[in-house]
Amino acid sequence: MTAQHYGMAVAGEASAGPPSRRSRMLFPVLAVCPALALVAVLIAYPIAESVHISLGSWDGVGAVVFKGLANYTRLFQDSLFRQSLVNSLLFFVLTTAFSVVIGGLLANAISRGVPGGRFFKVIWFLPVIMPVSVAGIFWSNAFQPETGIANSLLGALGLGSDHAWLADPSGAIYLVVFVAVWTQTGYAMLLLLGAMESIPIEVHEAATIDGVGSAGRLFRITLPNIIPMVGTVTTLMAVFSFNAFGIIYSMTRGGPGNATSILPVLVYKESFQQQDYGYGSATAVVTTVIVGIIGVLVLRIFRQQTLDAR
Amino acid sequence: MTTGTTSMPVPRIARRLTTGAAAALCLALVAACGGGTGLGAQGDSSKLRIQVPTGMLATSMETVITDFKKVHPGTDISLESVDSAASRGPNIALLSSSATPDIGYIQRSTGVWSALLKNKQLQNLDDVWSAAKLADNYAPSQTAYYTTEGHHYGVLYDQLLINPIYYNVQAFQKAGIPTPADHQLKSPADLDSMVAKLKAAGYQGLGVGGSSPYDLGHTFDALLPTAVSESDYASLLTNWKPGEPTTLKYTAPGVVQVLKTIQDWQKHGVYQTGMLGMDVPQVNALFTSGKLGMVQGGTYSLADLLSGKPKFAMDWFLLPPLTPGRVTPFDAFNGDTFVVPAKAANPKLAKEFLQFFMTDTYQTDVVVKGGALPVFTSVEPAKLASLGKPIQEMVQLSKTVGLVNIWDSTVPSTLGQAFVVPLLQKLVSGSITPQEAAAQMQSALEDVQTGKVSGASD
Repeated sequence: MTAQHYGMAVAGEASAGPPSRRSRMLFPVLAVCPALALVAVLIAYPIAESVHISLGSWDGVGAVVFKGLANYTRLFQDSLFRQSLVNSLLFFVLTTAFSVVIGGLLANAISRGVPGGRFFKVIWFLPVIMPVSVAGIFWSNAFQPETGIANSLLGALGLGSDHAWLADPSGAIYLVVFVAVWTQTGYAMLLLLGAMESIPIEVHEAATIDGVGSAGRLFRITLPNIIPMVGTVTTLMAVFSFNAFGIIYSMTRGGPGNATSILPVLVYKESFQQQDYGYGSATAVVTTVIVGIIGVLVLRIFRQQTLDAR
Repeated sequence: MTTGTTSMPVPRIARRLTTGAAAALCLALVAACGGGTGLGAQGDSSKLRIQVPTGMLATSMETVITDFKKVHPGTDISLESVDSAASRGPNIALLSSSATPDIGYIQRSTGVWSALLKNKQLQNLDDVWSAAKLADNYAPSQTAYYTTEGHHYGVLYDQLLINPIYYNVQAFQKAGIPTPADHQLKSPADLDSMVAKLKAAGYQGLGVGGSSPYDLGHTFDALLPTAVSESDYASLLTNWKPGEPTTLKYTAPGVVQVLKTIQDWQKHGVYQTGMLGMDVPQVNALFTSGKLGMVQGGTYSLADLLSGKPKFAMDWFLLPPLTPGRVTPFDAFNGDTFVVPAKAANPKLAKEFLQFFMTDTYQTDVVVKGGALPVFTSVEPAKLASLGKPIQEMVQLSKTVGLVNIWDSTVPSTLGQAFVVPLLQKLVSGSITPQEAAAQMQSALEDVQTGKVSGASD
């Protein structure tokens, strides 16, 4: 009966009545088409082309010579790739953790009305708008022995002025982490501050009346209410950290040796310095997959946290 | 039936939509892939686009452009700068595209040259060579370097001498170090002694831009020809090519000695503090500020050092030979090259310009004024006065101590500069031994020879 009734109704539409559900979908589908075409041209095609190049040998001109999975096989036997992967993971974990935690603490301080909060909000956000190359060159100079401002300050405090941090293969990575955190924290702070300020003030007031202290309000009220934004910010910081080519290249170019070489730096060197675009693309594809996995994992973790908080 | 009649138009719409979207996508792809002729390929016979490296040459080129316009009235010439990093890699995309300038700049030693040549993206310049008599004006080694299967695809327009060590004359006097006779040291022990005296006088030792992508490689370049025989050195410059014999492995004692010396200088404190964290501009600034006694450079760096307005006089010497009794030759960089890309809009005008440019007149008025050495052997030393006394002395000395092609810019980048500089950084930091570094170099050579690493083939 239902089918027959439906069929009759549709038959009526075909003649003169109101349009069918599928016909009503025509306009939305047409409206989406330009966007889909742009996605195909600007996103899907470059990714597909990268995968294509990664399966062959290409020096930047002419046709790609198909080599199958040879570049991927070489990749997983390459100690430089392994070192860059470890560097990337270390860089990503430290930079993301410090950016989100420090950004959260700064946002909480401003949100709770710390004196001069508006001024500090601007000051802490300034590194975000500074071009990363400028930040890299500034800090690279600042950390120079004797002449760098950081060393000069330490020297004035009697702590020695000849520290050569950027020349130390085991310590240079922590220095670039510091600079990356410096450039990213303001962004995390601003997003988290927006989320914190959306919490009704009455909730905090009620908690205060109930005798909940500042730390208690942070962990029992603020954090549970901003978990979705913390997830978003963590995902963004993770992606920024994994792709932090600019700050590293302007400070160390991946050196000394390959001590600060992360995967995007390796992609650049393989592709543009050695004209080995096939191998560089294979590295880029693997990097993209890793970033994708990390992004999905972070989002899933925070989705669960959000559900738990509810 | 009723349902069937109503469902029919929907798939048709869907098919039309799919077809339309696919057509739009194809059009976009064709456009994105540069299926059209492009602006550059359409060509305006009076327009000439010339790519030049960033720096002083762009300014000094105005002379030849003005003169060329007098001979070719109505010609519109524009200069497009490319920086060193872009010219070593990303520039390949531009020079192989239909938007290419009519004259491109390439560093002959990079994979950009090899890839463009292999893919027939460079125009044959035999006619320019013939008209400008370039084979007569270049040194035989330069002519050989720019000859591929009997033809010429690029024009070398200048030369750089690598690795003089500039020093602070007042610092040397204060430290009681005598002026090195004939700009030479006898052994590495001399350098150690100089550094010890400089430190006692309150200066740091030898400045090297350890984080720059080339400077530490230049130290290797300077020492290598003094540690192996001339024939072995010649073999090391060519043995990566198919069919070329290998008379010396990189694991040979001479090469290991070079690597050990570079590492020892770090252990002995010869380099400035934090050498691996400083690039060339930073180390030059440290030198001109008077904190460093010596700095590694080239003929290209004197102008930079003088622009720092040092409050002391400068002189120079060459790094010590590693084989007693030998002298250290100069390394010559013969890589600054103009080419005419295959897709250039005005190849005829481009070739006429190159022929017009490659004369003794512009070797002086453009190249020398641009701060580089002329490549023509016919240019008289007196014409180099504007480069300064130290450069004139270097040119003069190079005639007695000799010139060798620089190693790290002659071999492919997969073995040369891009590979060896990070390796030397690891060596200096103590992460690897000289023997391990030598083994890695040999392995890199074999990867190039066997084709395991792609690109950078000549």
